[in-house]
Amino acid sequence: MKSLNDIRALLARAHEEDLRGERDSCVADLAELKKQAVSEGNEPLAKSIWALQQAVHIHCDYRRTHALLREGEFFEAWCVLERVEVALKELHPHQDSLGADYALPFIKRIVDQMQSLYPYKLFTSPEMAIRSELCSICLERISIRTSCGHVVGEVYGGEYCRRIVQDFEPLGMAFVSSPVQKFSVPFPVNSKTGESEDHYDYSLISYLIRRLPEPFADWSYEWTTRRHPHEKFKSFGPNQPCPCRSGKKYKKCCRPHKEGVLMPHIEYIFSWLPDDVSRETEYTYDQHRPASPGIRHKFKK
Amino acid sequence: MSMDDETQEPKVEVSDSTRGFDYWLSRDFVSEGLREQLRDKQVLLVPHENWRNSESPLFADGTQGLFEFLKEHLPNETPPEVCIEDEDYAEVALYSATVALGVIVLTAFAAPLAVKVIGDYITKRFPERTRMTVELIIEEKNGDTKTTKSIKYEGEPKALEVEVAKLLPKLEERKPIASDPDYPKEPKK
Repeated sequence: MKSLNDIRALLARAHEEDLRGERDSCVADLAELKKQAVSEGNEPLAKSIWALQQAVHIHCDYRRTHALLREGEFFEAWCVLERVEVALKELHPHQDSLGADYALPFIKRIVDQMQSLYPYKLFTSPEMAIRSELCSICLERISIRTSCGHVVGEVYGGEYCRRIVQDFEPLGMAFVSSPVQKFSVPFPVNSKTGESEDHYDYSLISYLIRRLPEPFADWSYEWTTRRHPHEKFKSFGPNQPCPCRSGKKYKKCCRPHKEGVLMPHIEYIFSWLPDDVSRETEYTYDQHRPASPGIRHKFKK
Repeated sequence: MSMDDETQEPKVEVSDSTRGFDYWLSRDFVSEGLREQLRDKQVLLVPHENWRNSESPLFADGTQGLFEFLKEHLPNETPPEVCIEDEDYAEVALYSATVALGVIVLTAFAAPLAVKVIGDYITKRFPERTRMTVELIIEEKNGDTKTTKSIKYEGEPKALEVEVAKLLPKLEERKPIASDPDYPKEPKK
């Protein structure tokens, strides 16, 4: 069985060495150590062990998202990214119990960045009447005037306090742009096959993941705008809506600008040189999808 | 810069209201015993009525957490209360990133500090959330006249206190609510 110091050492190297092979044994050993701490009434130690469990899950799930993205499993990667995000949020108020940051601030930043590169803009959001809830720590029914004393988000006996919904009634469903449940991404259903279809454009995240040498390589990005040459938009007539999507006619909008059509443009900033890019800053553009943003990457030495 | 960046200007809507303390204490889901318990309270968390045609009143998601926070941070002279029997309490969960606090009825006396505490509640409990909504129904009595205003706020939690503070002095108007038959058409001299 690993000791706490063994697991801390593994976490300290987790940004260099994949922890996924050790995940189950780390979690099981930590559970045993936590049980011992709880039986001794050592609350701070139990909380510290809970924090280490969270950190193990975060590292393993973070690496898993990269593996899924490389396999083209974009939606599944999105769901795992959300799990990492939630685990980081739950851990954040109790970060001091960890004793070290274990590259978690880096993971948080990269998770936020990756999520923002996804094409999902609308999400379904259930509306429910929650009629009865239990405290996950003491299993007492939540009463509005009489508190069981346990606060959601705190850690007691090495367990995170939540609410367990016992009785609920669905009231409706809404489309929202800022969801709590990010996994609720709507997919259309093919009326002939009955199968859901993934029609989303993952080109931004796909471009990135093909060039990332490993999950802890640093990168960031900036959104800007650039003008793209008119010859790329030969299929657009002067009286048609401008390809920049302003709603105006092409001839009244971007056509008079000799530099071209104004389009959103993302610049990736890598801390290494991707194999397929020369030392000169390269401009790439998808000719077949003129409405897509252009991509350019620049490097930090 | 992100493609999703938006300027989040607060939206504030002020109107006359007839849903002051008397309105809520007279609801049929308030028993005589509860009515006595709520009388003279200055901070009252109240439910949505007929939300999505629901037969029973529903409180905003997280009202229990807000109630605990208010109890802890408001002075003893203005303790908060909830306008419902314990066994009838239910919340509507919307699972949106906007923190929706529902409706809170306040006296003009309790309002300034209560609004500050409400803002603190969100910034402390939901530090990552940048948008909130709340309706404050603020009631002021001046002798026999009563002024009740609804302030609907949507915006950043940290701006709530500042935006509401701009409006609080205006509640000193002594005009009665014209539609309320219990009040004289003209304020008493």
